[in-house]
Amino acid sequence: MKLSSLSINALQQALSQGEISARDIAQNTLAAIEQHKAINAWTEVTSQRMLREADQIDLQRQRGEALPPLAGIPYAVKNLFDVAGHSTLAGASLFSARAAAREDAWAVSKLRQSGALLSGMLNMDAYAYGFTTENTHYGATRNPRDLTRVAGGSSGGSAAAVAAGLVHFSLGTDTNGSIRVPASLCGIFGLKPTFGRLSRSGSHPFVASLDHIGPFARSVEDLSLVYDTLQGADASDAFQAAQPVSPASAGLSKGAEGVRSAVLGGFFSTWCSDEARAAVAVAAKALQAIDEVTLPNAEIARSAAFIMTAAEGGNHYLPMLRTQPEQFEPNSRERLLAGAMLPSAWYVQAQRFRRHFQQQVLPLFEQFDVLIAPATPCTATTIGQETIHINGQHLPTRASMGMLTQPISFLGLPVCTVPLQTASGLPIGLQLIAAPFKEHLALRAAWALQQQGLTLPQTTLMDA
Amino acid sequence: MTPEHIDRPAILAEVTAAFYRYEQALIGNDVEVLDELFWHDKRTVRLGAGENLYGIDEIRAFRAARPSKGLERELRNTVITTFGDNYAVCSTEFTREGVERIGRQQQTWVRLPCGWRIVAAQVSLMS
Repeated sequence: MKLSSLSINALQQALSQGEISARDIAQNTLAAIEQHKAINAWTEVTSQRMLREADQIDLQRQRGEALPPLAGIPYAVKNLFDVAGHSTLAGASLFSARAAAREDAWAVSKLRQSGALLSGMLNMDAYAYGFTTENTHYGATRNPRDLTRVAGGSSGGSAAAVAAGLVHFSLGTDTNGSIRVPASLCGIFGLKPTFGRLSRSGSHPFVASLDHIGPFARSVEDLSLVYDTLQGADASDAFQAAQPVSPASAGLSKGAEGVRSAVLGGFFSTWCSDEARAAVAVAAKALQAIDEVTLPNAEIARSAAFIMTAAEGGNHYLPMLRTQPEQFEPNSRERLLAGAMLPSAWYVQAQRFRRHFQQQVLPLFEQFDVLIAPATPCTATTIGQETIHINGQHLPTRASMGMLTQPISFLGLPVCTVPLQTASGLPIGLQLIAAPFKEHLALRAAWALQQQGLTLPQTTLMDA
Repeated sequence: MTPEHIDRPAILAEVTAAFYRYEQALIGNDVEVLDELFWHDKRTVRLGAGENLYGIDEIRAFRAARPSKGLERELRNTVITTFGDNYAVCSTEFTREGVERIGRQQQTWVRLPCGWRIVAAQVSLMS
């Protein structure tokens, strides 16, 4: 049985009919992770916990009890989520000696209660500051579609683990594009929900004003199922919005019917490759998006997001930068220091502009439900590649891979990224952007594209 | 050499990637990659199960004459250890379907200006 080719629902069916045990699933997963170590997605494998969780599911099955919604499904989390008994790294060797987390992050405990099997923690850019997962201490994570290329970041391990077929889903975080960029470069589905939708309790913060958590998966059905499991009110998260739980799975099959789509032009069609434009055109045709709309001052939104990131990230790490600068990721040390020194006027102005930008953009959703834009300017670059060539300019790779995602997370809008194939064979992701707390519309549009066979076929390393 | 220089995760990840790239090339008889990953020098040594090869020229001649079928193998007890930023030892056992004897392979890898390269290797079969 090829585990990775089964959907979550199909694997659960096999489990409940006794064709496979949860222990078999766990053991197969652990062996496959070991065999594909070269991807460098995991920074820690939690074998004992995974087998223990599996045995618990098998016991419930033998007793004839009803199984929880994600029973026996293997997953892994970005290493900034607390996992009881392990140090939370946030990609940084700086934290490797700190005390182990006493309990699981809110999202991880939700998944545990839902019966999912935790395989371990995943590599990321240090502090979640970067778009390539080229981590100087833990090494670069490799893109399963081409091992010489980056997986994208900062949730690079999360995307690579799922794209390789080693786990069915993973958790990542997105501050400026850290779910959408690696989903695009690795060719899988990712969901960045609305700012404030999901609890962030027990995840190591980077930029409190912009951080989101969200899932990765190989199909829209799997993605929605995990998203639905992660919803719920958490009194301990002060940033969570007071919104009712609104499951997306049941309505997926309505597809794009009644969903009014438009293409994002201007900034979003200027700063990307022809491959990205071609992918947008494919989706626009399928979703009958005739109109093109622009977000005025999108480039200022990106700058404002940079300022907030630098200022809050720099402030967060300033005490440790003072005492142990040599312990910092060389790719980020100087920009964190510079961020800590930014004039407060810049930061206040960025926050002020955020409100203004929201007021200008939100009325667009009176006319449209879903806006389409590329998730990255281009496909995955090779490891170590310093620049990308976009719109006639050479831009620094690590900072520029997120230029099309930054203005959208700055607005806090929900986005589902869908993978399409380019002429070169490498994938590229599209952002399907919806109004606040309308995740289900982005997911339905994504499902429609998947249903029409337009998204990247999910062949994994496990099928080779 | 102090303990923090042994098995630095980033170095270990690089060597692990190179090691499995070599393994894939071996199974697929990708002679170009096999040649790329051995140090192009007359001091490179490969002591095989049935041949002793000194220098890259002898190694190349052996590769060219090697059968291209039945190369599939499974690894077990693979141990990769790095020392500092530029030196590593990779040891593994391997088994082939239909072959009872256990194979052993040991390689010394060094990071040269052109990348990680095997500078010495030994392959044997347990009797």
